[in-house]
Amino acid sequence: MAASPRALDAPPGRRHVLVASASRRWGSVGLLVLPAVAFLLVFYAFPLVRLLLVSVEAPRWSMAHYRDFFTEPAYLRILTRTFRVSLTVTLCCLALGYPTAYVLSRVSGRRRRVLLLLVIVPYLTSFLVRTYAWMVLLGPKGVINSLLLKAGLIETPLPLLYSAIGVHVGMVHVLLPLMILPLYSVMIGIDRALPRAAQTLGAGPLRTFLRVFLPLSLPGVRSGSVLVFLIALGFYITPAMLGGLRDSMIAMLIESQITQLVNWGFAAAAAVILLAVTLGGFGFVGRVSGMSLLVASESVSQADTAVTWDEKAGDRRPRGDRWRGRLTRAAPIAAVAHWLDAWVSAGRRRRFERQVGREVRGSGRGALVLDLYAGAVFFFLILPTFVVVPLSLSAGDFLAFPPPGWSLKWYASYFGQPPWLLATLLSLQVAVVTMLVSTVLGTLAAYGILRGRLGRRTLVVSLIISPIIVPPIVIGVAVYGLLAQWDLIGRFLGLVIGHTIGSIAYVVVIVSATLAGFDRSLERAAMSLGAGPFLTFRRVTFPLIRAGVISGAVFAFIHSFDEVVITMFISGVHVQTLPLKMWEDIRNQIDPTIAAVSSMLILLPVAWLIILELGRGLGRKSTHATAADHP
Amino acid sequence: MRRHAGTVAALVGIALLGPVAVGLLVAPEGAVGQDKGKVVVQIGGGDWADANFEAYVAPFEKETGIKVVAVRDWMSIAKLKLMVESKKVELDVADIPRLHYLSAVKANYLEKIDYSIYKKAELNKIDDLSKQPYGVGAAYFSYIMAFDNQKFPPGKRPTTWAEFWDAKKFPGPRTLRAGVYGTGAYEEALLADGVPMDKLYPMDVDRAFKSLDKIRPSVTTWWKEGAEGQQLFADKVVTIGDVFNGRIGNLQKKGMPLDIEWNQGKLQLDYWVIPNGAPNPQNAQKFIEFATRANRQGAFSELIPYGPTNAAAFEYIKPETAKQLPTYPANLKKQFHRNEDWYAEIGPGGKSNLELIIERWNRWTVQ
Repeated sequence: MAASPRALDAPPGRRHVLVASASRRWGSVGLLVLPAVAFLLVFYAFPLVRLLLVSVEAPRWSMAHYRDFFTEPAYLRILTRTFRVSLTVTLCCLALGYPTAYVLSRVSGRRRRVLLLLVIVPYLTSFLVRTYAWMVLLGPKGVINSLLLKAGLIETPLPLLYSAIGVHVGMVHVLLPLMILPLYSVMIGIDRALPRAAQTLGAGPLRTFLRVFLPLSLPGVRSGSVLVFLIALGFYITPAMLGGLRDSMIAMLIESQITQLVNWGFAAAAAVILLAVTLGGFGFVGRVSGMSLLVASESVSQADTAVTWDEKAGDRRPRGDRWRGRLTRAAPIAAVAHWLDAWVSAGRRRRFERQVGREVRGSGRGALVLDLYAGAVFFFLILPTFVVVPLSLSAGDFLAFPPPGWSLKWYASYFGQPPWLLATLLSLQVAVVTMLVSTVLGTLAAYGILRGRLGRRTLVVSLIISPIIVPPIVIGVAVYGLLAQWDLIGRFLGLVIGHTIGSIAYVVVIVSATLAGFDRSLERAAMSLGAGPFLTFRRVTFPLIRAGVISGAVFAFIHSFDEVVITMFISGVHVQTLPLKMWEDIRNQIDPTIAAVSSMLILLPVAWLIILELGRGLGRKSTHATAADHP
Repeated sequence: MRRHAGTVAALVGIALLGPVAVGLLVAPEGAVGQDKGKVVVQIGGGDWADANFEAYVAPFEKETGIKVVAVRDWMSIAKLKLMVESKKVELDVADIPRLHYLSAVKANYLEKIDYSIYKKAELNKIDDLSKQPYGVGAAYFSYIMAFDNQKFPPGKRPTTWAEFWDAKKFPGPRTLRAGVYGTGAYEEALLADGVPMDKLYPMDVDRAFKSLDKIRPSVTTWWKEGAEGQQLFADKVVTIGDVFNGRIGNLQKKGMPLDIEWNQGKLQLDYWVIPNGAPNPQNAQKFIEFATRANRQGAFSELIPYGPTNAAAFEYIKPETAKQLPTYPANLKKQFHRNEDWYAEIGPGGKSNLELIIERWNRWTVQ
């Protein structure tokens, strides 16, 4: 009975002391971000600073390279073309993604799970594989041209590959899920009653959409567009594989300056310019809507007095839930975590869907057109899968459509060649280690950000999250210098370091989304019973966020397994990961072994999702945690 | 469910990794060197790499017991520069064209070749151009005009570059070599513009690029590496273009309907070199000596029709194969040698013509 007195029972003065001492212990929780921050400062921020120094030829301090860049019309043309392509791709993604996300958010239960799969599986598939599939689709003897020629619609093959069309199609395909998911996560939170209320007041469907739904969906539009635009700026592989000479983007310029001319100074200057544009864009939009754009953070929002769309529209839920809901919704990648979370906690989901299932999407011609449109977009998203798999079973010697016969020889070819197997093994090993390191660092950091008292929180969060937006070619060039100095090029540790930089960011976003949706009162209850932060974490928090941590780990694994641009720089001469071998073979080889490898890589996210489904039992306890954030 | 979750996850993990492990156990491995050490050799890509592997790498391992790490990648002076300057030389033997060899020698990126380990008889048969202080000739390659002979039957095809440039008379998707390594289709462009074959150098670069402007709209894509060029023809992306003769030769062996025009072909020589600071220099010297033996070069030319630098190799080459080689007298007299000395000349700005032309190419591509 004497044990630890409960804080609430204690007389007022005593209560204050107890809470204060507990909160001092909690204050040190902020230190949990230190490992991740230290890692990123050394291996990410410091190399970027060095890049800046190299570009100004320190210690000579000369702006010659920047002058060369801005006075040479060819380079300026590349820069403007990069902007133009990114903008076009973003607008296309918006046009394709918005109706699709709308349909996704209005469809019920089971169908929605399947349709979300169609968005998430391409997102998790290696983008090298997806780009290769487009090469197969768009080539003169590719699927599209073959079909059109056979149908007699064209006389000679259309020049789809090695052209601007190829680049745009490929980039839109790769980036579309990144537009759909944020839109979806925002739309799903829009109160169904609002459009209905507008209609009862006499507004027609168009007016309802324009005056009620559209403004409410704008945060999603903003996150999605910003994400797609900034990532498109730094694209390298897709334009290199699908574009012609004229379709160079700035990342290709940086690469060619290094691999052809070893002109580090100029390459660094171009990289710094790209970095400045990317970070500038991110910072600008970040300032406009608060840090809520990418990370769910309760403390930030409490201090955030910026007016948001939700408040304007008069969200009628209690204040406490309101900001939590809004923030978790706005996190684009966290949207995937949400979906994965829901996937893993079935019971909760079933109850939720029974609610949502009552939602009517509307009927009539409008709905039919929308459905067809969305259906076309889904088809577009999974089309490459349909192409690569049958081609990998081709009995012919070259890639031809339709395949002359069926055979498993290309799979046999893959298993019979040690270089492929060694590359796969290396990729797996690096991915596993990266997953472990980044999950630990990332989970600690997420917990420290959300639960600890942190000065400079925004700075810390920006540091950790930025690798998602910063072009991998810039990171690759920067990190190369540091790793070369420490003799880590071509070493296992070097690869793990290079991959962890980006993986930590994904883990932090996903875990913090789960943490933010977590009912804080459970932790407070534990605290009031006298538990310190670490005990609380071990016994209360972690079991409930385990599903989120697992999702984060999956993302970290996939990010490392698919990483190719940074790896190009840091893997040295004869160390090859699977994506590197694929990249080399796409350029050099003429047989369809690559199609077999691609098919197997397409199955990888499916395998992961199955593992997550099997791990559903682990997540059963997280039912309560995910209750609060579903509207 | 939770009870079994761990087991199931483990089973799935084994299912994913299992085939990989089994494959590694079952697949054939190269002869493992005992304590003789190893040597890292860059052998290019595609068919050329396969030929290098079968003719040189595998027999070398067998004979000497030294483990060869074969790197299927391209080498250029830029990569050499990167390796040597950052003191991270991981390659022992590289194959670079004479074009880059000369600049590499000037910049001190290469180790001296130890000719004392070569047999006198072999050494005498290697031609003088191939016996350089810092490199030994590997093979003679030619850039030639290749056609899909169904689209361009004999009599209805260009025989000179000037005719190739006439896209109206000979329509068809084309390819030409990109100038990313300095080895672009500049000489071809000048020939198309009417410059006689013996007056190509010193090259009028402006005229070359103006000529390239004319053909640019008809070029579907510009290939960067030999295997890429080969793939374009194999996938029927292009029906006519300039490409290495060996790549087409191998496609012909596979039964593809392609033909070669030797007239106005461009001959180049590649060297085996040892980067400065290579980790296994003695093994590197041994490998290069092995690769220049007559019987080895004969085997190589049978695998891919490139000309040997050791004249005695012709004893090991079948007559039909000999006719396909760039150095076959009938073919040789129609071609011209690329003048690498001009490329290596340093201009007034301190940059070599090679560097200037690469930069010019990069600017031209974005116009």
